[in-house]
Amino acid sequence: MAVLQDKSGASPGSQGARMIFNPPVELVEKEMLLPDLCRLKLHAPLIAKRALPGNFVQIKVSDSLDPVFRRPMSIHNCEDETFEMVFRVIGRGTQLLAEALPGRKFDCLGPLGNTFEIPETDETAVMIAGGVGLPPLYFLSRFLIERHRIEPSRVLFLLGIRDKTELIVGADAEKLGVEMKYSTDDGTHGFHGFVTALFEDIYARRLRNSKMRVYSCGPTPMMQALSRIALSFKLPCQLSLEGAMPCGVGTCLGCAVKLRAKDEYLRVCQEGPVFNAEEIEL
Amino acid sequence: MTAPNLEVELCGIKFRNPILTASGTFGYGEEFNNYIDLSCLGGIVTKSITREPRPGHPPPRTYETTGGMINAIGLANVGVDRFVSEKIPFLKTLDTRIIVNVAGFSIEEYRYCVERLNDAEAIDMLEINISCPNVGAGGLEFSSTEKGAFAITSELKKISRYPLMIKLSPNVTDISAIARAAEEGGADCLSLINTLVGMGVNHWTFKPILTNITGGLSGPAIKPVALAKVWQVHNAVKIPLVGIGGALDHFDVAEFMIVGASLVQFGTANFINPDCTVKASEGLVDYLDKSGIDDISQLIGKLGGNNEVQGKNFPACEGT
Ligand SMILES: Cc1cc2nc3c(=O)[nH]c(=O)nc-3n(C[C@H](O)[C@H](O)[C@H](O)COP(=O)(O)OP(=O)(O)OC[C@H]3O[C@@H](n4cnc5c(N)ncnc54)[C@H](O)[C@@H]3O)c2cc1C
Ligand SMILES: Cc1cc2nc3c(=O)[nH]c(=O)nc-3n(C[C@H](O)[C@H](O)[C@H](O)COP(=O)(O)O)c2cc1C
Ligand code: FES
Repeated sequence: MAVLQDKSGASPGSQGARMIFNPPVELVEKEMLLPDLCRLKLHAPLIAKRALPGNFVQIKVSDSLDPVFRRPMSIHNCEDETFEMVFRVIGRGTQLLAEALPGRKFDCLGPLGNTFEIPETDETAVMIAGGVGLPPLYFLSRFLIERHRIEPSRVLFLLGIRDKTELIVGADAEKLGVEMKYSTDDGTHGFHGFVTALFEDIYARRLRNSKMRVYSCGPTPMMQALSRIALSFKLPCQLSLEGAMPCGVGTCLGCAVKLRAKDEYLRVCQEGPVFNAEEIEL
Repeated sequence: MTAPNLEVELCGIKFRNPILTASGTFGYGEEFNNYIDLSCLGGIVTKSITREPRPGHPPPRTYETTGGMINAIGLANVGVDRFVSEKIPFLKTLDTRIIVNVAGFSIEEYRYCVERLNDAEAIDMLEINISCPNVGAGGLEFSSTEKGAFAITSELKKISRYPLMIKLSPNVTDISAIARAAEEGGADCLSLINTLVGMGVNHWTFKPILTNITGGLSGPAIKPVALAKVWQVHNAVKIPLVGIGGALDHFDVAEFMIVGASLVQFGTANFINPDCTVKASEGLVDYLDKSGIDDISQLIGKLGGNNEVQGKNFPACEGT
């Protein structure tokens, strides 16, 4: 696996470099991991060179006005001149993306948004992903291991999936050599129940006295539950939020998320998508 | 052949080209600065500002529809004081026209903002939003009655050191009457249209999509409505008009100008293609070249009758 590119001065944990690009990115590889789970590899040197964990792109899925808006997608992986995204086909936009054939070019704005904080040297990085919330956490894990030389054993990756047929979602993360634990809704693999319950279980059994930093991405109810847990255990916890994003660059104010402390909103696309759990109200 | 002239003069102000960005779709200019060259624009219209900062409505605030979107942002903005201290310094550095959009809930509130902006620098014109459909007893009352439109315009005209552009709502019975009232009140020009009231419903949960229930429809879906309103108002008033509603490219600019607009604002299109305004200004040069027109102002209000052909040299015009 190639080491991640030098990121031209953009530092993790900061807002990163704010230069955005909209090059035509070319689809070079497509794989349907499941009937409704797709991985695309896109040739986009400018985006691949500058992307940091947490960043996302706004990809224009159609040459027509159907659908009207671009679709936000997390960056799952970057190699020299390409980046990957992994997504669930849920509606018209993702359907069109999944139907595209190699050679197809897309307009793609990126890299957008802020990045995750890097853990302290004595902290365990706990990744808590719900289904296709995995991409930003996979990118972060790989970044920590390759760029920050963090031992894979210091990364604990918890992934919640529906049932064992979805194990493929975690395949990339498994290859990093991190400690990987699954939860399934129906108990067909790993822990039976929500991934947040799996985390509470592991925390109670062995993590209670260790220093850790929690990172999460997944469905809103999952992140709401995790917020409560992180706050009650006083754990530093960063959430990568999803939501409808008309512009993706901070001009429409459509992607608002409310601050916990006051009656004010932040823009998920600009001040996020990564937020500290204690800062925001989901 | 010399390049066609794209410059348009409106209320004594020269605009490099007729392309402006619409309020609420271009932030305060900063967000796009590292992406497009803002000096390629005729001007920037900033997000509506009010006297007090406003957080806006709870999410979801936007809903994608066929050919457009519905928004209920709720006039979220930093308030006029922070606008002057935090946003003007950046706007001052730009080589393009700056139009500041002002909204309010009472004449006093509008007046406070206009007076505050009178002391600021870098502003070329004010756009007075009397037509936001998303706020309770908001500016809409000023745009829904002739009396209201006259009152707000004449009050602000007395105090503003800038030319006033009054932004009209399409959500009225007779937009021409409101336009005439604003003209009588002293408006220097009018911009139209703001968004059309619309809503989205979830057929599984029976719930409205937007927390605010209704919102404003914008985007290419509303262009025919906008063209019709500009044309109607063009026939009703003498002051210049600024067309808004669904513009995506240079052809749309031309169409708005033909029905009577002097300038055209691009709104939702900025979300679809963030460089749409720059591309449209490039496209206009080509369009004018092809049509044999050397000055873009020649398009304004040149709508022909059914049997007339105003454009020249168009392949598509042959035989018509
Ligand atoms: C920063 C960010 C990163 C994301 N990364 C990923 C990823 O790595 N993998 C992945 O599978 N999905 C990801 N998503 C979610 C993804 O954007 C949506 O699944 C996608 O927009 C759905 O589009 P559609 O046209 O298929 O669905 P439709 O239901 O047809 O979409 C209709 C509208 O709803 C919005 N919408 C619907 N569901 C979502 C959702 N879950 N999140 C955001 N907007 C939604 C769309 O933007 C669109 O405006 C991410 C979202 C954000 C904001
Ligand atoms: C997200 C969004 C926010 C808007 N905010 C404002 C605003 O603050 N003030 C205003 O006068 N108009 C506002 N508008 C209306 C636009 O300026 C414009 O009149 C309308 O969108 C129609 O143009 P369009 O179809 O090109 O978008 C907003 C529109 C959108 C889509
Ligand atoms: S998507 Fe427009 S401000 Fe975030």
